[in-house]
Amino acid sequence: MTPWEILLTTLVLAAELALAVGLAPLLTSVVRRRKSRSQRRTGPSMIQPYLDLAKLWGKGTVYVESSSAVTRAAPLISFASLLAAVPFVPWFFLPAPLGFAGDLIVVVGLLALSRFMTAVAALDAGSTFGGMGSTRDMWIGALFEPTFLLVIFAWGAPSGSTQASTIVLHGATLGAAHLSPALLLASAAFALLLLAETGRLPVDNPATHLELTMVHEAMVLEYGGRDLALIELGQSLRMVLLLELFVAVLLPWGIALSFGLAALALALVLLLVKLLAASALLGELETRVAKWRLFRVADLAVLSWVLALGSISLTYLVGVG
Amino acid sequence: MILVDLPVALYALSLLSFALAALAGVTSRSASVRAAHPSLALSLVGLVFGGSLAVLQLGAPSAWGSELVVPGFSAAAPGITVLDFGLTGLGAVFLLLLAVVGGVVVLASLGYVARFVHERRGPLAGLIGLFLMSMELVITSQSVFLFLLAWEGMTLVSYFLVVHEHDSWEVRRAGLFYLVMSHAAAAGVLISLVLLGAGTGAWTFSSIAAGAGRLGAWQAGAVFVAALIGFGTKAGVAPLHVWLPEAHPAAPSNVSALMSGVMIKMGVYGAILVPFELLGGTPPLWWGFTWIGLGALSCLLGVLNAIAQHDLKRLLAFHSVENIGIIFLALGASLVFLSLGAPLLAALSLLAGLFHTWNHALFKALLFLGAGAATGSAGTRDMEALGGLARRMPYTALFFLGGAMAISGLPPLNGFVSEWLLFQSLFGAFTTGSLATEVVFTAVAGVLALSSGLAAYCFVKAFGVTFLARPRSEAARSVVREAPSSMTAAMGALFGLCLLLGVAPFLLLGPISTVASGLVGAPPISYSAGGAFGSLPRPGSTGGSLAIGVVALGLAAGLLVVWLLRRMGSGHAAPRGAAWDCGIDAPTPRMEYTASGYAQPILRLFGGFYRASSHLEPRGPGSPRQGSLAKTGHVEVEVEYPLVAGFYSPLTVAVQSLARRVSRLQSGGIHAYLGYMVLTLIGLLVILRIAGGGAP
Repeated sequence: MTPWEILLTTLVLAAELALAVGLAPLLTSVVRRRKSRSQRRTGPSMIQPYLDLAKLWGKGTVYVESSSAVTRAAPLISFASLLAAVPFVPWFFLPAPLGFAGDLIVVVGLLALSRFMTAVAALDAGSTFGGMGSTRDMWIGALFEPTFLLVIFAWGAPSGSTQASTIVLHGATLGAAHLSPALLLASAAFALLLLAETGRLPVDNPATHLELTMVHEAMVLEYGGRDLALIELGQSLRMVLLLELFVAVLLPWGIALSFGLAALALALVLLLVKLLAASALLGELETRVAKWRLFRVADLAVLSWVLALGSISLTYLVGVG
Repeated sequence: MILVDLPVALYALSLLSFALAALAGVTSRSASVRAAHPSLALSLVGLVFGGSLAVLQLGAPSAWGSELVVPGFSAAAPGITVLDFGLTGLGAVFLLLLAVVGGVVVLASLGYVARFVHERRGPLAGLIGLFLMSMELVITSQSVFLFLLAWEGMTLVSYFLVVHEHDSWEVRRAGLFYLVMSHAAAAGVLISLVLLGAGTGAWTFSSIAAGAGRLGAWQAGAVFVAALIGFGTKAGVAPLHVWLPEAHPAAPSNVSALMSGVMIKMGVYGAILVPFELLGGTPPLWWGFTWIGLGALSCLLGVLNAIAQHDLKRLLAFHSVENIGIIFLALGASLVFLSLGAPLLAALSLLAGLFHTWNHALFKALLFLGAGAATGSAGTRDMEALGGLARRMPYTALFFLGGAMAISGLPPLNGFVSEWLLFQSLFGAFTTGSLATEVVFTAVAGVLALSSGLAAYCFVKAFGVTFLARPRSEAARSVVREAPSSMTAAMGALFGLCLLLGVAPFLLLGPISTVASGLVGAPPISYSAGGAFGSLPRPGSTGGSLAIGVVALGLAAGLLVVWLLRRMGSGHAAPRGAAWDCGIDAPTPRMEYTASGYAQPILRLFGGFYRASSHLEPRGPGSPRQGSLAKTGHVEVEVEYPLVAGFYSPLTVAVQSLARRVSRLQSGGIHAYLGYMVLTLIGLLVILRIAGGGAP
């Protein structure tokens, strides 16, 4: 690589990190807005998540008396691992800046690390809520981990790679043939995973504060101030990451393959359109379903396994392209 | 003038040190720490010599798989070569593992043995020396008889280590259970090796490997199955694992660390030795699929049982079953790839298996030492009575958390890298063109992902309930001091190794992959683009790549930035307050989530597997249950082990009744015994006449 290319790649990396973190609250806001509109409510302002984060950032923190260093470290590690996952997902430029260093399995690992730290910290305060949220969240995470792996296998089989960049590039060059039944099945499985991983309805209700139903909210009940801001932003970031992965693989067209100004601008616009549309869709979906009983979520998980396995069988039966 | 070359000298010195360690430990009458330390120090010296030998072998440029680089030396008895020592590349991988993990555990024992000072018990330190020696002998035996002797020695010494605290009935029972299972295993090993020897007419491993082509398919299959039963039992593969959750908790924690970290890996060594090194050639497909099936069973059975435990050491023991399952999945995949004529993928799977063997040894020894420090100080292994140890034992807690993250397969620790390798090799199945393999391997990847997700679940529970929140009992409150410094240092060293192999796996993957490629006859795996650990070659595709060092760097950079941002402008220390109590009352430790409560969602989801039943007994002043309201009560959740109840118990009963019938032969009268002798003699002569044919 020439120094010029290294500089550009670094710039892309910085831009993508800024984009992901900057967009995260906006997309959360879009989901909420869509949800309130379809429920005939005005809903909060579009910049409300940013205001909430600013408010939390200015506040102090109180830690539970009996808590240990785990409580203080967990929000940092949890957020940093999500941040570290950003460069492994294609945003508006291919190949992803750190694409050589890791594939989608790394993304699975980093998301799992983030979840693990939050769940451990939830037990530190010693309140019942923390334990309740922690066990439920790990339960859901464990059930959907096979889905993630199987979807990666299904997505990767046509191009023979588990690298996000290769998968997206392969899809983009295929044209309309890219939207095969196998891809759609795998993407449907991924959509279910997305609901579970980001704690949306029907798996978890992000708007609830009712003790018996909450999962993620119960885990982070004892947090405040900057820690809570990091956790909230992290939750949004997790959603953006998975949404972007979803749209990048399903609709790979338009991503920039060179450092041309026009290509980059087009890619950025298309990225925004895809992400906003996907978030709006998510909000729409949330109005249509009610929260499921916790143990029914297992059905959802098994359904996603079946979809992913079906996709892979289809790929193999048809033959790998 | 006698010239002794370096490897032989290292080997002899290593064995000598172990022998002296055993002697020093066994002969000292006073059970004081001062008597134990010289013995442990001598063991350490022996391990250093053994480790150097392994490094010499792995570092040698021509160290290719089964080739003997370190010259074997044999003591020839008239007619037949009985004793043949040597170190293969495969052996060196395990010998180095023994030296590293064994060394650290011996270091930890320096402080740990202080616990047993005032008790008149067996010579723990001396037995540890013998135990290490027997394992080194297993690895370096290159002939059938020596191997069997070393194997038996290892079993016997480990039995005495398990029953160290023999004044408790449970410990004696666990020990007996272990001894019986181990001997069933030894029978499998014996049958397997003797069949090999009889079939090839050779009794040293190198000549068996040379002549294994002469074995028929049925003979080779019998050898494989006997080896699977023998070595699989030692390794703890389901359904042969039942001794493991009994013996590991019964033993002192440093012994559990050695057993789970190193000894069960001898089973893995044997399991690789027989099909890859001794039988060689192209294995039939069913071998690999059998291993994969048992591996998948072990993964799920191990982790699901682990979640149901609230005895910390039993929980860890069940996780050994899970991880051995992962190793067998990798080895099975390797055999399947070998059958399908894909040696590169076979090498990759074998590499994943060997690397996971190392990783499991490191983090499981770490976890057992951590569990020993925690449960030893509190005097109970019941997690429901622990809690709040993190603030009293910060280092133990930190290192245990590190081990928990490593075993859960989280980056940037070593467990993640070996699981990544295994996923990659399973993903490679689509290049083989065999539909059955593709579908099975995909399903296996799902099983692996599920078991790693469940492992994370289990270790959030194990760490959280043991170390976090507030102490749940007087016993946990009584812990005031950190573990002895030798133990924290040992745990720190193991954690450091887990992190090192997570961030820079190529340090170990390089030498191991040479061995793995050599064993399956593949060209060496190259690490190309991506610096530390780049694209792995795969025919017709680009595969996946992982430069885990870059990932770790990104993680560290992110952590630093976020940490600085959080610190910025918030000068004073955060105040502390009470946890949210719903406005009722100050929360007490009894309101904390229990280990059983934490496990409940999994127990419920997999209810059919556990056959869990719970009994609720309302207690209190004459209170029959009023609806669902009971003032005080006692809940008990029971988990059945269908395998033990359905298979092992009936088997035991059958063996006992058979033994009773056979014992009628023992009349005690001399004339009866004389009669038996005559009958036996006649029987033997008849057999000889029929079988021997033209005997002179």
